[in-house]
Amino acid sequence: MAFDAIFQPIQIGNLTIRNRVVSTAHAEVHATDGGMTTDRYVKYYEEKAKGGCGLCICGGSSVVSIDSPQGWWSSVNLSTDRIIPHFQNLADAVHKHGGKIMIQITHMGRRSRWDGFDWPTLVSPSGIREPVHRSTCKTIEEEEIWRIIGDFAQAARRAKEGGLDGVELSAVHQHLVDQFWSPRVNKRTDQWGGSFENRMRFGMEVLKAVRAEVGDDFVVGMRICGDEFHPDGLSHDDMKQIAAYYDATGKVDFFGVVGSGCDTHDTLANVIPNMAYPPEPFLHLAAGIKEVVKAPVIHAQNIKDPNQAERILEGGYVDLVGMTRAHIADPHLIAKIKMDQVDQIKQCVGANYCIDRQYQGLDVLCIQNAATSREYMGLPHIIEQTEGKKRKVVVVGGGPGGMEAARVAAERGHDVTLFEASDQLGGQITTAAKAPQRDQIAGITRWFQLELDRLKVDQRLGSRADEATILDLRPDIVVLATGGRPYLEQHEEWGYSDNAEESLVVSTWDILNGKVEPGKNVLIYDALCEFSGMSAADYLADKGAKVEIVTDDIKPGAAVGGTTFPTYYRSLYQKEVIMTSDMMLHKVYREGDSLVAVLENEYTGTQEERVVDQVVVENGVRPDEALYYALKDRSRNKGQVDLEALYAIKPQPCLSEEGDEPLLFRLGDCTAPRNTHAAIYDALRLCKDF
Amino acid sequence: MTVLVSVGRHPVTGRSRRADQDARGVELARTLPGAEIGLLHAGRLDEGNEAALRGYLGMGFDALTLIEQPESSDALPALAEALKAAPPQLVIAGERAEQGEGSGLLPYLLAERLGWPLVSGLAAVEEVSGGVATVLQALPRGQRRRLKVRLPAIVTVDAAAPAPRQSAFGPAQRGRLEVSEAPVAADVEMAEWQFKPARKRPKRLKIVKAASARDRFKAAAAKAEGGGGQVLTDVTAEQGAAAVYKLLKEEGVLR
Amino acid sequence: MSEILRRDPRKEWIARNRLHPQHLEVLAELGGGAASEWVGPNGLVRRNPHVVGFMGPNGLKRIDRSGVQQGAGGGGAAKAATQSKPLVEIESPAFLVAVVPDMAGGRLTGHDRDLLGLARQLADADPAAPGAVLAVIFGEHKEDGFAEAGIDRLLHLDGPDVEGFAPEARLGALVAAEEAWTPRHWLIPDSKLGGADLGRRLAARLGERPATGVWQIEASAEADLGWSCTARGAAGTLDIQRSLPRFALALAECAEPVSDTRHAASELTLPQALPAQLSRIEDLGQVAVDPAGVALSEAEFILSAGNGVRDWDGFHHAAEVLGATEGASRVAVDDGFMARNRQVGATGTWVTARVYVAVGISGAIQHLQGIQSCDKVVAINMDPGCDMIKRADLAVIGDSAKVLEALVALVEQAREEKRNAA
Repeated sequence: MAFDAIFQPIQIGNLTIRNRVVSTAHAEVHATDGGMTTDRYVKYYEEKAKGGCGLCICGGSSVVSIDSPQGWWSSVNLSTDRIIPHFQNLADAVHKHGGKIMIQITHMGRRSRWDGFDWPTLVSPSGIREPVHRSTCKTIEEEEIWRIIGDFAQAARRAKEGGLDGVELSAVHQHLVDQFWSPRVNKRTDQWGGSFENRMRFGMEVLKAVRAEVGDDFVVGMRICGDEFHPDGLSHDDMKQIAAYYDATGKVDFFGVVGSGCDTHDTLANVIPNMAYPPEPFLHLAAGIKEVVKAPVIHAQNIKDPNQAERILEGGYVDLVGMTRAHIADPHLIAKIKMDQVDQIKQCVGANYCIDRQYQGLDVLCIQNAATSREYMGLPHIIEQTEGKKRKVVVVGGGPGGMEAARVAAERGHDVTLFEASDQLGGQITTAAKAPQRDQIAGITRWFQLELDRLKVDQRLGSRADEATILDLRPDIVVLATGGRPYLEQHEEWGYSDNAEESLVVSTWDILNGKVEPGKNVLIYDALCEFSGMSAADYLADKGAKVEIVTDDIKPGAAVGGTTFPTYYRSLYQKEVIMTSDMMLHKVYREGDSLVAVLENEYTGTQEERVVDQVVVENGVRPDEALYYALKDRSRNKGQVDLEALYAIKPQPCLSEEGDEPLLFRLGDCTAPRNTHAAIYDALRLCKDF
Repeated sequence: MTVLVSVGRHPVTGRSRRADQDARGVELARTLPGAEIGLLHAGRLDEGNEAALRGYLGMGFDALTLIEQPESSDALPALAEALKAAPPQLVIAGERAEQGEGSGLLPYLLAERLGWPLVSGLAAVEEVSGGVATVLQALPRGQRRRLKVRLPAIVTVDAAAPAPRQSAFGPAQRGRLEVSEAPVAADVEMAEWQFKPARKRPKRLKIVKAASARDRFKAAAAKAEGGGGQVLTDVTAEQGAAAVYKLLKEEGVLR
Repeated sequence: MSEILRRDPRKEWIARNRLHPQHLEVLAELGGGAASEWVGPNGLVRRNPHVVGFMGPNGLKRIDRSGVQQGAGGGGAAKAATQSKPLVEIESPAFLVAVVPDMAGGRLTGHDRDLLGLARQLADADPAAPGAVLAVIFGEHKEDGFAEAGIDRLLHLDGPDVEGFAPEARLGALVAAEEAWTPRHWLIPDSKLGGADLGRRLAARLGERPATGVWQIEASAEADLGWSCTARGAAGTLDIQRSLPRFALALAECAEPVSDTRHAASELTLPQALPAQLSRIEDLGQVAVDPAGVALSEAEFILSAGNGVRDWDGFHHAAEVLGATEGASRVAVDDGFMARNRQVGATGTWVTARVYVAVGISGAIQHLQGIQSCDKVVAINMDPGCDMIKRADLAVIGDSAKVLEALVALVEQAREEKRNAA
């Protein structure tokens, strides 16, 4: 096999891990009911173990103390013995499939919120405010320090008694341990601050207490940062010194290394590098730590591909690779490598839908895999062939919803025809991929394309289906996923016209798809503040245009997630794009060769003008409903979806009813504009019972 | 011709074996039509070494000359004397030993002492005639260079030379180890060195020297970009091709 | 330069005429600080947010809303940040450290630079008695960065005798350098590119026992030369700790290359001309090898195809004629035009080619990552804005099929001429 390094077992402490791939700790945001792990949580990890993952470290930011609130991210609560039986379920589920499971334990100190649940007073070495969560905190007292050290030990005991294979002490992401380490936050002058030894003391006491509690026969690891990238923070050389210091105790069984600190918006984006980053951008930092420690080193961050993982392991840079988002996209990653099905792996594209939801306190979901974290509902990663009758299924529209519908129906064993009006699959993904730094999103289409080819789906590209062509195929089921088009006609004063010669405004689609030449001096009016407006701005600026992006919302890009807007901002500010908020586009008119855009301040009503040569408007999508209404009356179910069945992941009742006319469903933006995940989720839950 | 053979060491198990390059050297010799081949080894004779040396006999030889020497001695004088006593046309050796210092110096020292030319890193010997050998030298990146060398000469063998044939058990057991003796020269200097198992040295990833935190971060997250290259727009295909051709010529990649 | 003011009355008129379509452009051009705010014909304020502020005296953008300070008068343009590295000159060195770089392809290799870094460690250890780094190079070269690589003295030996594989002639020259200057240290790359061979010859000729496979040095009071070293032995399975002898053959990454200083790189000549030597080894030149047989990761010359390639027969033919190893982008592989094992990039194979020609490859980030250690990148592409063009040393914008066809014609023509001449 070509992936020898990946499948080389490794010893961590007294534990043997079957391969070198780890799903590293992340907040799942599914432990609920006071932080007890749920059936959903267990099934989520069981799926990874079933798929061959060597080691799962669950529970990113699971708390050891009650003054480190778990409610914001529904993380696991290890501050009570109530957790122990829940861990037993989790451990059994993973061990059953030959996997190993550990949990990250932490006290988050100032890195949390105080304005809810028990309304705690957050603690930190020197009471310095944390900017990302806008949280204030008190200066921690000696008594509290010792209490929390004891809490760490008790939490580790609970993990051990629950049958987990180990704990990972979080000393990364500016949690309490590394708040003590970093001179940026620790300004103390007592024995807990100042000199190197003093700053190390809290972490060292935690380590000693944990080790004393669990003994030598239980894995205790530590997750650390590779370089905080703050001028007043810990540098890579500092981190090497710290790692060597703890390693020398012999009490640490492994180190996980995360490149970059994360207590600003900009550095936070580094921690989970999105598609704008090169592969494994921080490997050199992990490799630097490995040089100075004896314990094995784990490193994640933009490792998504088996060849890449193999190359990193083979090169000896680190001992284990974290492929966490890779597992969120495809929990069967390892099994597919083993079965020589590398091309069937649904590869993470770095859209960061998962983590951007997490930072909003929403459950972690995958933009392209709707089954992930919904295993408990019965949503399958592997679609079974139907035992019922083979049906003729016609899918119209090759965007994400249509591609998923066609794939799922074909996996069920049906005869599927997919119509797509343009000459390639992808729909709006294709447009999105045109922007600088966003090309990787086309990976979503890539996987569907490879799968639809493998499943021999009849793909009719460049072919706009109408009522007659569809009915000629005598379909049993028609799925419409025809999307929509930019909604520029909403305000007459914008001067949109279907005639491109006359129209005063163009859409971001026209810009990104290259249908319209980029202007030299452009105003973008972005009513959504999502990806499309930012992408169009970046695209135009990249082509040398002067760009101002204006919104009536609170800031451009406001609806783009926390790990992605920074990469846009880096690019836009560098290209001197002007970002203007609180102004709505009132009107556009022509003046000589120029266009004048009249903007109106949301809060004062004051108007002002811009003289430009191009006005681009992003105002969302208007569903394309024509085909639906043409077919609606010809269908047996009148196009209706049984919502109770849909939400319960049950078959649509109409599937088992007899009749001559086809069933008709529509999903994705041709119903109402939502997002990629929504389209794919609807397609999966609807079509899995065809 | 004479092939110098040594006792190798398996990189994973650490057991004695035929040394890979030496075995390739024997194989190379076997490919030359009409060559009269002798095998020569200087070193200690014990059970493990004997099994390894018999591995060479199993490649189709009746005998191997073994000049007995204690461990950690300098084999140079003994080998030089032996070759001087009965000079072959061509001496073939591996590039370096798999045990001990493994400096790869021995063939050079022999060549210096015998006053013979040396060519290193062969992939093949194409022809031996008229006192001249035509050989192919292996270069990095799978490249080859053709050389002519006047005989007698010493050549060393690269890992690109053909893989050695299997050693047949019967002939290996039947073959004779003809043991002879020679004066011993102790390697005094080596006695002072410290040896320990090597740890893997991962290749350097990137050098980030920037002092400021911002620059370190930028260096880590930056795309691989060159910048400042020459861009030819509005040229004919011929003009474009000419520019590419010029670069390929300058870089010497066209043969 | 003349100080006489030049005026363009037409432009000045446009600058006064806010309604002129070129108004802003001209304002910006005249540099008088383009207006950021004025009243438009309908009475509404017009703003040009792109010109807010001016360059302040510290070279930073400054906005003064009081209106007292304006950018007019040209402001202080940001000082050109020509931070050149400091030049280190060693006039009368206490000793010399000689380095013999491989100069593969006529340039310092990464390995050579590491050795020069090592040489600097040895030379600069005692600031009171600094040594100088002497590099001995052979044959024609294309290197223009000797000074930045840390070389104080350069001995460049040229001529037909030392071109190609000429170990005997080169050895003679090194022996002459040893006799002329007797460097305290000799450092030679332990590499297949020539250093491993030449270094062993030199040590054997001078009767000095070298350290081979050196990858680390440390100051050591006990050692004769004041340094100890760690060297790989036993085919890479052992580390040998020993004192550093005069002659050392060192591995790649034995030290960090020089990056912060410049050096004189002044040319030396040997005091005496080299005697003519009768060579017993004749170099018949490099042999054409089957490029398909060369591992992609090692190939010296790669012709790589992407999404933009339409004429696949033409592409394969070009690779054959050029003698290049074929590579591909992920898309070309996904689409079934090339085999998976030809895929270049972080998700395929990392390549180290000296010349990488990307045909119709736009340059996805994982692809660019996989070619980052290539020396020269050539892009042939229709899209002048793609990332591959930004990475390329030479880019040709145009139809790749036609460019390849013309390139093939050039190569064949040159070969024909050579054949006729022979």
